[in-house]
Amino acid sequence: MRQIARLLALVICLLTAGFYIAYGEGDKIDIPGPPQGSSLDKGGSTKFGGKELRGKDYSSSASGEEIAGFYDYFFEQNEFEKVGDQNIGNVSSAVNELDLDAQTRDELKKSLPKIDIRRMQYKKGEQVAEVVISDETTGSRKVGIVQYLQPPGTPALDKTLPSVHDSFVADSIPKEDAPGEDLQTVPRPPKGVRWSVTNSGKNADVMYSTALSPQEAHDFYQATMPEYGWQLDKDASAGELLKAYNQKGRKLEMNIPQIFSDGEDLNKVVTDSVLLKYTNEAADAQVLITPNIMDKAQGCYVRIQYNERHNRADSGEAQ
Amino acid sequence: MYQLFIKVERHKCCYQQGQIFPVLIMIICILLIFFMITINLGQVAIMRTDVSNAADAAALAIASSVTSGLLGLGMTSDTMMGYGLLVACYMIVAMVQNDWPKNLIYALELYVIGMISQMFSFFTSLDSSVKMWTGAKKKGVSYAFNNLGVDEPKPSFRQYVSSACRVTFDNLSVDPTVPFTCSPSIPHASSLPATFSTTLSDLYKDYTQGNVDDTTRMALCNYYSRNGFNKFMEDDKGGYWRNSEDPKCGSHNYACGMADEKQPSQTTGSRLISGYGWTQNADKTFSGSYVENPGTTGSNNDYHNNFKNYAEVQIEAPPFTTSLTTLGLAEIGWLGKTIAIIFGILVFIFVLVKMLENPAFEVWYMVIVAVILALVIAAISTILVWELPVGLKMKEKAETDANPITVKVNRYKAPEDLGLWRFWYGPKSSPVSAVSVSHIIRPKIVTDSNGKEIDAAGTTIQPTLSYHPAEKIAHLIVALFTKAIYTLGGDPGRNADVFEDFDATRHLYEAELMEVM
Repeated sequence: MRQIARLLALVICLLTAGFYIAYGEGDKIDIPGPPQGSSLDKGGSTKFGGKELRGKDYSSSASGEEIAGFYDYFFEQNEFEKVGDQNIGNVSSAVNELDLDAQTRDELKKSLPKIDIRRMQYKKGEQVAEVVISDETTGSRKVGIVQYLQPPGTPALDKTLPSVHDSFVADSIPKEDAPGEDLQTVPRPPKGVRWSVTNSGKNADVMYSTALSPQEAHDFYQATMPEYGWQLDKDASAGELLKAYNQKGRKLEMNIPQIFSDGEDLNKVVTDSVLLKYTNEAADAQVLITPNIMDKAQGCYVRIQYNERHNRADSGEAQ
Repeated sequence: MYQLFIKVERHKCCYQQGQIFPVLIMIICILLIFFMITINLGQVAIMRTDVSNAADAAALAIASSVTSGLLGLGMTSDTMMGYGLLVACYMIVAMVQNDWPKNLIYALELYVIGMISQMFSFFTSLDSSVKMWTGAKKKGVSYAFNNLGVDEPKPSFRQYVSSACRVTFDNLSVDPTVPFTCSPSIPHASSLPATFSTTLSDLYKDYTQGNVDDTTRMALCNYYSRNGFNKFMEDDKGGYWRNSEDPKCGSHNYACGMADEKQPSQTTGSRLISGYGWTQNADKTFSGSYVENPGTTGSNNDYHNNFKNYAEVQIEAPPFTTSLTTLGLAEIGWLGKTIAIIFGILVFIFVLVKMLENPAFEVWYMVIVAVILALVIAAISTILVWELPVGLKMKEKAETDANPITVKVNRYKAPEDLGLWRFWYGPKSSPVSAVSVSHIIRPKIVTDSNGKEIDAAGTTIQPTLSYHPAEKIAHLIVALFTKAIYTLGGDPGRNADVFEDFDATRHLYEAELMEVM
C-alpha cells in the first residue's frame, strides 16, 4: 500500500513538473530579434487589465514578409500554433462592411488615414507570444515582441478590459494644474486640479478634476455662483430626465459597455451627471458635473464653459 | 279634391250664388296649413344646414390645426437630428484635440450635454403636442358653435334694467334723464357698491354700446346685457371650453362647458362634449345652462340638454401623444447606421493616433494595448451615438390615416321656436344631428419592394435627412465638422449652414374631410 502511495506521489510529481515545463512560467522561451534587426533597448514589463505583458522592441531593415516568415518558422519549430495574423489599424476591412456603393466606399477608404500594423499571434498552452510589425518608416520597421500567459478560462487579451490601475491609465491623470488661468467670474471647485483651459476671446472652457463628490460639487456651485452674480437658469440631471421619460410608458435605455474592468458603470456616470446653466447680464456659464469614470470615490470632473454674449455694438450690427 | 272641382264645375248652374265660399275657405285653410308646414320644414332644413356646416367647419379646423402642429414637430425633429450629429462631431473633435484619457472624458461629457439637451427638446415637443391637440379641439369646438347659428335672444332693455339695478321698470320715470338709485348685484361679485345713481339714458347707452369707463356699469353690462350663449363662448375656462385646472369645474358636474370632457392634459380616451342650452321662461326672460361665476361649490346642476333649446358638440380624436417618442440614430435606416459606424471608425483611428503620441505608449509593443483600448473606446462611442436621441417619431398610421377625427353636432329647438306653430319634429333625445369625419393624411407614402410602408421616407415628423442625395449628406457632415471644430476651438459664433440639408416639405401633412353623415 505504501509502495502504491509512493508510486502515485511520483506520478503526480512527474505530471506537475511536466505540465510546468510544457506550459508554465518556467518555459518562457527566448524569442530572438528579427532578421537584420537591432534591439532598441526598450522593453520590460507592464500590466494590462491584470495581465503581465513582457516585451521588447527592435528595429529591422528587413521587409515585413521576411520578418513574418522568420517568426512563423521560429514559432513552428517551438511547437507554437499560429492563432492570428491581421492588419490592425487598417480600417479598409471595416469600410468594406458598410452598406455603401462602390464609389463612395472607395472615396471613404482614400479619405481615412492609413495606420498599417501587422499583428501575429502564437499560442502554446497558456503561453501567448505576439509580434507586431510597423509599416516601413525611413527604411526600417519597428518590431515589438510581447509574451504573456493566458490560463484556461481567462479571456483573451483582446477581450480583456483595461484596469484603472494600469500604469498607462493612472500615470496619464494630471496631478498638478495644467498651464493657463482660472476664470475670474466662475469659481474653481475646492480640492480641484485644472486639467485644461481653452480660452478664445470671449469664450472659455476649463476642466477640473476634484475630490468633491458630484453632490458636493453641485451644492458648491449652487451656493457660490449667486455670489459671483450668476442666476441659475437650468438644473438638469440626465438620470432624472430619463426617469421622467420612461415614466410615461416609453422606454429609453442606455446600454453603454464598460471601458475599465474595475471602473465605474458608464451608464451610471451618464445618468448621475448634472448640468447647471447660469446667466448674468453679459454672459452664460454652463457647469457640467460628471462622476469620476475610474472611481467615483475619487470625486468628479467639473467642466465650465463660459460664453460672453456678443454685444451688438461690438459686432457692428447696431446701425 | 279634384272630383269635388269637377262636380262643382259640371253642376255650377244648379247651385245658388255664394255656395263656393265654404269650398274657398277650405282651400285657403289647406293652403295655409301647407304654408305653415313649409315654413316649419324650412326652419328644420336651415337648422340642418347650420348643423352640417358646423360639423364640417369643426372637423376641418381640427385637422388643419393639427397639420400645422405636426409641421412644427417635424422641424423640431430636424433640429434634434442636426444637433445630435453635431454632438457626434463634437465628440470626434474632442477625441482628436485632447490627450488620453482627457479625450475620453471630454467625449463623455459632450455626450451627457447632448443627451440632456435632446431630452429637453423631447419634453418640450411632448408638451407642444399635448397643447397642439388641446388647441385643435378647442378651435374645433369654437368653430362648431360659431357656425351653428345659435339664435338665443338678447335680454330686453326692460329685463336688463330690472335685473342689473333690482328695480321695477314700470315704476321708473318715463323721462330717461331722471336719475334713480340702482342697487347692483352680480352673483359672487364682491366689489360692487351697494347703490349708485344712474339714468335710463345712461343704462341704454351701456346696453347698446357697452361701457369701458365705469367698472360697476361695465360689470353689470357684461353680466346682464348679453345672452348666455355669448358669455358661454367668451369663457374658455368655464364656458365652451373647460379648463380642468379651474377649481370651479374640477369635480362638479354643473354645466360649465365640457360636461364629459377628459382632462386636456390627459392623452388617452379623448372624447369630449361641450354644450349650451337655454329656455325662455314664462316672464319672457331666458335661463341658460352656462352659469357665470358659479362659486367654488357650484349650485347649478343643469345640463345643457335639460333646456328647451340646446346646441351640443362632440369630438373624438386619436390619443395622439401616447405614441410620440424619441428616435435613435440607428432607427433612421441605413444612413443612421452608416453614420454611427463611420463615427466609430474615426474614433478608433484618432484615439489610436493620440494613444501612440502618449509617453505611456512610447514602447512599441504597447501598440497592442493601444489598439485594444482604441477598439473599446470606438465601440463605446459608436453605441453612445447609436443610442443618442436624434429626432421624434410616432406611429404614423395610428395617429393619422387610420385614426379619424369625428365631430358630431346636435341641435334641438323647442317646438314653439321652430316656426309659425308648435311643430313637433322629434324628442330631445333625437335632435337634428350631423357628423363630419376628417383626418390627417400623408400625401407622400413610400413603400419598399414588399409593399411595406417606409415611415421615414414619406411624409413624416421624423428627421428628413434620409433618402437624400449623397452630396447633401456629405455637405451636412462637412458642415457639422466645421461647426464642431470652430466651436471647440473657441469660436462658437461660426455657424455651419446645416438646415439647408433638411427637407421641411416632407413634414407637410394635409387635412381632408372624409365623410359627412
